[in-house]
Amino acid sequence: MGIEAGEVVLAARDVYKAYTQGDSVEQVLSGVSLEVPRGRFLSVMGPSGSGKSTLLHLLGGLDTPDSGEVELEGASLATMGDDDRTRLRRNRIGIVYQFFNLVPVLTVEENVALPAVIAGQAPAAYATKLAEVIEVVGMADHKHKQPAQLSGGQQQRAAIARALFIEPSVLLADEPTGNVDMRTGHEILTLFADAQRELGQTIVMVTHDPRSAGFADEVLLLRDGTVASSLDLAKSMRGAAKTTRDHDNRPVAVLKWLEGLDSTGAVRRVRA
Amino acid sequence: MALKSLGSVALRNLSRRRGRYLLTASGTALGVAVLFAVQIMSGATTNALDKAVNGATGESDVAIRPIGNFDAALAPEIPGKVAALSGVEKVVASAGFRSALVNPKKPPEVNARPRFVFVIGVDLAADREIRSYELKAGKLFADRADEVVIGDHIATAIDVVVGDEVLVAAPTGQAHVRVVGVLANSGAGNASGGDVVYTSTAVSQRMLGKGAVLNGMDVVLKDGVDAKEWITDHRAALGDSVSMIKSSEAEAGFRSFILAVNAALTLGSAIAVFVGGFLIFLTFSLAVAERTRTYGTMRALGALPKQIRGVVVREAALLGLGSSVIGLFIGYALAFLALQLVSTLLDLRLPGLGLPLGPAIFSVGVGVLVSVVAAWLPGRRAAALSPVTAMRAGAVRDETAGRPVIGATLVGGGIALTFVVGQGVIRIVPTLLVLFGAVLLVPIVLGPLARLLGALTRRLARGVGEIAVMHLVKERSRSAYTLALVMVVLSMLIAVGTSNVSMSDTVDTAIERQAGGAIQVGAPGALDPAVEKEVKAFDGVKATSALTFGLIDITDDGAPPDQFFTMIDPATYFDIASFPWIDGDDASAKAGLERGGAIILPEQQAIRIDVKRGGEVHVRTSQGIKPFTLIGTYGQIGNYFGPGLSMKDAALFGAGRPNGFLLSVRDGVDTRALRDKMRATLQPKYNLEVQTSDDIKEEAHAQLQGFFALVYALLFVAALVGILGLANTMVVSVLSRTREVGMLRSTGALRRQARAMVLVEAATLALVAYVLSLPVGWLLSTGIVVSQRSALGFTIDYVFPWGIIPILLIMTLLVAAVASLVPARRIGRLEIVEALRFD
Repeated sequence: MGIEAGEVVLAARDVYKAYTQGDSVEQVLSGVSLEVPRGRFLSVMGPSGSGKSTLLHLLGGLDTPDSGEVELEGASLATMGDDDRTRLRRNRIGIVYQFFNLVPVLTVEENVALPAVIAGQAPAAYATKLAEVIEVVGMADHKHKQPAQLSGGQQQRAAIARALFIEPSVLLADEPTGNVDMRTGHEILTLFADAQRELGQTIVMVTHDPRSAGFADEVLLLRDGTVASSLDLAKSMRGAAKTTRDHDNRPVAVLKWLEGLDSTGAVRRVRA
Repeated sequence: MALKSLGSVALRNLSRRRGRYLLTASGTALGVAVLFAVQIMSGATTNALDKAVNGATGESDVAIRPIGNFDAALAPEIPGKVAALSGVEKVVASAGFRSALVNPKKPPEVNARPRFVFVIGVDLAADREIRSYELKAGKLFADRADEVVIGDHIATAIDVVVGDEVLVAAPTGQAHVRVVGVLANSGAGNASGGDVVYTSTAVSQRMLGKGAVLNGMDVVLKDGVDAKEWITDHRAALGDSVSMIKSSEAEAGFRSFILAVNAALTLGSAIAVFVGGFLIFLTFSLAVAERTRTYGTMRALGALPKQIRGVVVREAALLGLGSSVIGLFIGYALAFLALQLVSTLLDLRLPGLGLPLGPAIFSVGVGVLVSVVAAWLPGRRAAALSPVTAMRAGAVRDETAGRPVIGATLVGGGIALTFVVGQGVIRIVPTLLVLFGAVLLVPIVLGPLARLLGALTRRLARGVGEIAVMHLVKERSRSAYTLALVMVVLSMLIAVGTSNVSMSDTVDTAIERQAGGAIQVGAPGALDPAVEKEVKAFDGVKATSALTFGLIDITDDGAPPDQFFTMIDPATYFDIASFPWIDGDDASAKAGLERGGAIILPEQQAIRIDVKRGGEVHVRTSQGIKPFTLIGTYGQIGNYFGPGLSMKDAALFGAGRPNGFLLSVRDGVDTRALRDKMRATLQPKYNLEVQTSDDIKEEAHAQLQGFFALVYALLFVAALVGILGLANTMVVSVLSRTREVGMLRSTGALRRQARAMVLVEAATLALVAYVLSLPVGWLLSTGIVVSQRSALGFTIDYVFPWGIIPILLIMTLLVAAVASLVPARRIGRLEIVEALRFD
């Protein structure tokens, strides 16, 4: 596409979104802007109702903004028709959900291959890639099982494999560790980190968990539908190279800072 | 196995919820089975009729008969005149009469009906030029010899073989003839359904006893000559003493009756298929609601709306195809049973079932099409899902249902139209509007009615019954269409019940009035007038009145002249019998008939030709088309009696010898005993049919019940589908409330209480359906009875079937109980921990 590493893959510009329910109108996003360079791992944090998931839906082309612009590799999602946006999702956006959203009647292998099936590709055309991606997420032994036969962590691995299978321009994750235990959550985040490091995968992850956000390069804090703050975690970690690290080799001071980000005061302190 | 396409997802979905889809498939299978069976029957009856007509007519283009009475003969100059007309290729004349055939070695039981046949006397050499005579056994008869060849059907029925002697009940008395051949079931052997006897013209004329007369002519026209035009062109040349009809239009009356019966059965099967489609709609609506998150995921992964719709519709098509194929097997068995019944009822020799490929393809096609159409709306709903909304937790949502404004408009409009539209088939339209409108209104009225009736039903599950009722009140839309399904079935039962009771009642009235409440003596053909004296001589007989029958040609309606008339003697008839008058009375009818030039018509026929009492009806007579004064109209059932004429006008219709007598008996005489005595004496001599009015009623009721048995069978299938629909909804209801049931159980609800909740919900639903079906059924029944009047030409008095109302209530509750069985069992087996974990 002519976009080089470091170039912006995904961008939101002055995005507004409101939901109407009966007579009341809820303004969810009010002028959010962001840019995600290729290979970047961005984490979006914020309290409940801050608009994290709505932002992710707009970035993934699942919904359209009331005003503003969302661009994926230079293509405007907001002005695209539903069918074009659907095809774009199919080919260039991988999404991982909190509740896995696997099709219960299909096996792991079939769930992972679903985007190709939807696109009408012949199984032979994607068999090798399918086997590889299942191997990468460590689900080769479970590929013939149905979701009901798997643990939450295994289901999420399958969902990640499905998202990675299309080699997406961007991988979007909505609370990917929200429905699994801490250890499994850690494994999943490691998978994301590996994908970023080894495949150069661009990732945008919504989470309310500071520990999860700590896996990202950059953290964006949303509050009341606006970007309250952002922190270049990669730079911070480089700066704190000699400080104490936890067992994931992450700076304890930064983690503590992240843990303090969930209140208004904490953000002010960071800015100060 | 690798997933090749999204179509495979449809297949997986089907196999996942096997139980529920099996229920749905049973509904479609039953609907298709009925449709297939009706198609086979319809084809078989039409085919049999075609064969009978074709066998009788052969290559004949036009049939010429003497006008009027069955005993009438063609004027001697007619055959010569016809042969001289332009456009004529061949002319074949015959002398025939209706008779009865007896095997003297095995005479029929005294109380058995005579075996009626048509005896046709032909010039074999000439007749073989237009009709084929294929022999199954023996040889053809010799000219002037007392020999006959007979149809296979009558040969089997009276158990005679080649070489046997048989008795023909001829107008001149019993004639002994020898069977020299039995015809195969083709060509001439198919005439009159195989109940036919062929002999030489001379022998037939001798038995007829009217000299060298002929009473039938078949005309073969030259190539390119149109039969209808030829009749119009040469009508005047032959005078008015003959009727001329296109041969292919023979038996038009019976054909239209068969068509009406087949249409009624097809309508019934359409209802069964519609109900099956309704069940598919319900199932897929629920399935889409259940799989909202799955479809949302697919949309998020890049599936286009049309692909999602395709998955749903393909699933329905697969289900429709599978169940339709199963339906074919059930339908084949049903058709086998039904054909036996129809064969007896219509006295038609029906062909074997064979391999009805056309009806099979049609029925499967309809089954699949209905399934696809029924799933289209749920499919569209699935396709329109926003991926964001669809993937939110707790995706099973209660669909909004009901179109109150449209529903109320249809019901209001339907009721208003009831008072506006006139007679005729169009009368059914307001009723259908009301029915459809009522279906759309159901979701609105379900809440209040469920609350009201729930006060009764909740007692079935003490403590938790209230919760079940509240589910219906609050989540009414899910159950509303199921309820509508049950309501439609119950309304149809009420409507058909009304039709049944109304027709039975009318049959009774008609027969009581016209059969005189005593005994009717009928001959297969014409009778020697002296027989009346013999009949009168029986001890206990008070009075007799002679009747003659024939074919009438009322020119006002332009229909082929194939309607039966009854000619009565006004001097004696009204002392014995009457008419079920719609407009008229005995005294004025008697006076009018005694003056002559008068006619009495069935009410529906008078409506059809738009003539009122005192108006003129134009009838073709042997002296030209003459105006007859309509002196009364009466309610007719079937083709019993037909237009009534007076003996005063006998000469105009070639009537001479009587065809039957009505008898009244003295007070205190045992009618049945007298009947038996008459049968014992008269039957062997003349093959007379002796019946009391009770016999005639019983026979008519048996026929009526036979047809209603078929309709009830269709409704039974629809009711079965209704049960399946209710069971289906209850299963889904239980499934979607698994967690709630777990919670109730954890807080102390007993297993049996949980089970009883299902019963409460099903019973409340069924009771609401029952209550709604009463007004809807009533409206439907008035429409059906009125439209039957014009479709069948019967005058039917509306009688509401009060008797079936409590029976329906019991049935409704039984349906609820049966529909609750599977879901109640499921709920009873739920383990608390699993139920609480259920997603």
